[in-house]
Amino acid sequence: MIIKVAWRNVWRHKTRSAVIVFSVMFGIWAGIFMQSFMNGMVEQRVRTSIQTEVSHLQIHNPGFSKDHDANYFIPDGPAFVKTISGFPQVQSVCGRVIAKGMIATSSGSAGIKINGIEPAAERSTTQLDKSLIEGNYLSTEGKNEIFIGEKLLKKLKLKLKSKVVLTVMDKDNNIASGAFRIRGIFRTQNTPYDEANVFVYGKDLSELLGTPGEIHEIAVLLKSNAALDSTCQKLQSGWPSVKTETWKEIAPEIDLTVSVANQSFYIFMGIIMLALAFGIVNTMLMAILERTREIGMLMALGMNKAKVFYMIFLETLFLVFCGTPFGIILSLITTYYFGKYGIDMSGYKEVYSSFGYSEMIYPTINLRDYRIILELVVATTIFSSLFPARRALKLNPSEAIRK
Amino acid sequence: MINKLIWRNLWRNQRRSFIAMASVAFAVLLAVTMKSMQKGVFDNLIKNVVSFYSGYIQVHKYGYWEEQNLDNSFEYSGVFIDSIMKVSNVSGGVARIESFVLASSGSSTYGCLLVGTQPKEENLLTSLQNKITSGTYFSDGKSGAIVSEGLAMRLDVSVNDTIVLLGQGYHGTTAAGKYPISGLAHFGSPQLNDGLVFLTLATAQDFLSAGNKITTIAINVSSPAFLEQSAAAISTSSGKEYEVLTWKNIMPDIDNHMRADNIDFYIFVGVLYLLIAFGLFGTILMMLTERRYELGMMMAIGMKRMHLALMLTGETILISTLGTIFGLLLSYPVVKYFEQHPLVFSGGLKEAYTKFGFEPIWPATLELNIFLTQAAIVFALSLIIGLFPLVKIMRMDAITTMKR
Repeated sequence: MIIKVAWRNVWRHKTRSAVIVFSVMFGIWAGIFMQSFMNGMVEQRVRTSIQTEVSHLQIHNPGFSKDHDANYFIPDGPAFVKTISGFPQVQSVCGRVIAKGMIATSSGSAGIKINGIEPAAERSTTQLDKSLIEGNYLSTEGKNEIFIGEKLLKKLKLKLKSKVVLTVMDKDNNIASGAFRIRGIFRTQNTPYDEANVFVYGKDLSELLGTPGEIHEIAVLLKSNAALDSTCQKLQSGWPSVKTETWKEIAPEIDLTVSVANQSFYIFMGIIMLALAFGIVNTMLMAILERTREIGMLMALGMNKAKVFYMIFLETLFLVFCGTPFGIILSLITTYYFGKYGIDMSGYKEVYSSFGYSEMIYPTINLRDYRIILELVVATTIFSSLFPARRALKLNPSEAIRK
Repeated sequence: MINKLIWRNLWRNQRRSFIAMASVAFAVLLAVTMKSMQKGVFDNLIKNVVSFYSGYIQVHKYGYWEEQNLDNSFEYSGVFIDSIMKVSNVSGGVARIESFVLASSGSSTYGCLLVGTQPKEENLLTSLQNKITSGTYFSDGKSGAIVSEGLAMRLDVSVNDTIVLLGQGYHGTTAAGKYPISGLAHFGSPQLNDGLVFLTLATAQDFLSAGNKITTIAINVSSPAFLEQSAAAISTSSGKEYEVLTWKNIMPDIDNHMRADNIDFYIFVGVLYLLIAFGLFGTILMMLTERRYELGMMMAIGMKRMHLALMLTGETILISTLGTIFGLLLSYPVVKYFEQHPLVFSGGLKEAYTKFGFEPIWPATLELNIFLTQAAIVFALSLIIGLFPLVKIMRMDAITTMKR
């Protein structure tokens, strides 16, 4: 009986019902859309860092990271690279010879990290060639050529084809130097990185270090981040003598960015849910006010307070459940659409690209987030329906009816 | 006459007016809180980052930033520094001489940044003393060095060991010297932690044969909101021979990161405004329904639609204004509270924050500007939505509306 009354009340005032149904729908849509936007944004940032800088996994000699000593190379490195590239989860692998050293010219010197690379493998793993701005990327057959950051180039007042001297400590702790000619200039979004890193052929550097053919670092790019932990474990248990680390350990700041983004998201989401709740509470309070006479009448006729409360509560509940499917459908459509075509932030292209982000954001959502948001919104709306129902209880029938 | 009606209507049904005002007030409260929280997290981040090393503003000789070497240094002058300290909003500053050198111990050698600094002022600016994890801070009369932990680990040295510094001094002279390590300091940022050596200003000047020259004056401001104005004021007072950089110039990557985050935040704010607008619309709509009979009656006894519209507009303006004012009054203590009692992160996030040298807190920023802009936006929203009843009135038929 009460259910029937409540149901009819829903349809009696269509505009009012429509407003609440819309609020609920909009609340669900907003929650899910924002979560998916956030996911898309974070994913894009993590992906950018992984694909252009750290890669998914890195392998070193356990002693290497503390002390960049040339002797801490990976045993049988080149063969190991080949083995890893045979893994089905692996997209691309590259080996690097690494040394800390000095770059010197007639006009100054600077401390840098020298990366000895294999140009083709490096290209497929970190897309290093894409950051080229002048000259050429390292070719496969060149010798004693260097790929240098624009920032460092300017600092040392160099230009394309200039000669520089690289000084490193070789495996016997002697100072070894070699002259290199600038073949290409790069610029990544990370200016400090550009200032601190140069690239040469792995062969040249390993000869300079007195460890020909050896490599110090293996970077592995996986086909999907989902295989991260399993591949890492496989490498750790199969090759316990070397240290395999995931991007989370190598670049914890990326993970920090992600968790800060998540944390702030929950706080903003809380504020937005409050806005939704107040919207519904105020609308329902006004609705009760409008129906003062009617409710007073029902009470005067002998409907008890519990039933009045129940009626109003049920009414709000119906409205919420009418709005929910619309909200789900709308959010499915928008996340699908934007997930496919992306949200164009190119109005802010300068800011985005200066940080290495593409200006398109592709929202994505997983089932678990979907469920959480849905529960959150429905709980918020049901909670907010309690207030108007309580309000109705406070009516005095004899006064209310006089209106 | 209409004014009187508006005023009376407002007080006739106090509950109704109250609900309408409350919805505006809460909208203001939420918008202000959201913006203050977002500003707060950024301001706190900046405060942390600049207190690592750089300070909010740096003054160099013109051209130093492009070419960081000792040829671009300038003579230390107490008068000049005092003139900067007198600029309003400037809360402290330190004179430094900076140069890239090689630090070595035993058989290992690493490149690092040598910083000659004034111990007392440096501590006020970057709390260097608190970053000391072993040993002591600069003590008078001793020429000890403070080495960042990461670098010390690489060099395999600890307190009371000796490090050798090698570099290029002023005018290309060779600089070499050995210094006992008086303390190790931990820096949150790995980049700093792996490559800093501090000496007192005089010791470093001596090492670099640089007389009484300095390269940098790092400056703190008391209110970051007026950073640009302060930088401009310093720039005018110091003249063309000097360059004045803010942290935005010094660390453009962090500035960009924040700007990117700020843009993403617009989407959140957009959603919030939409929800607020919906809430307001619902409230206004129900208010109109409640007053259908009353409005129909007024029309029936001869009130012109124009006048009725005028009356409703007046009410909307009044309700919006009062609601906005209440909202502002309400949000002040809330924001103030979160400013003084910031949210504290816990668990993994706290660890991550501390590791990077950030305080694991989230304070709100109390800034008049935020209150005003957010209030203005909500006020405008509620006015626009408040115009909706006018459309209704124009189409209202007195007879049907009076039927209950």
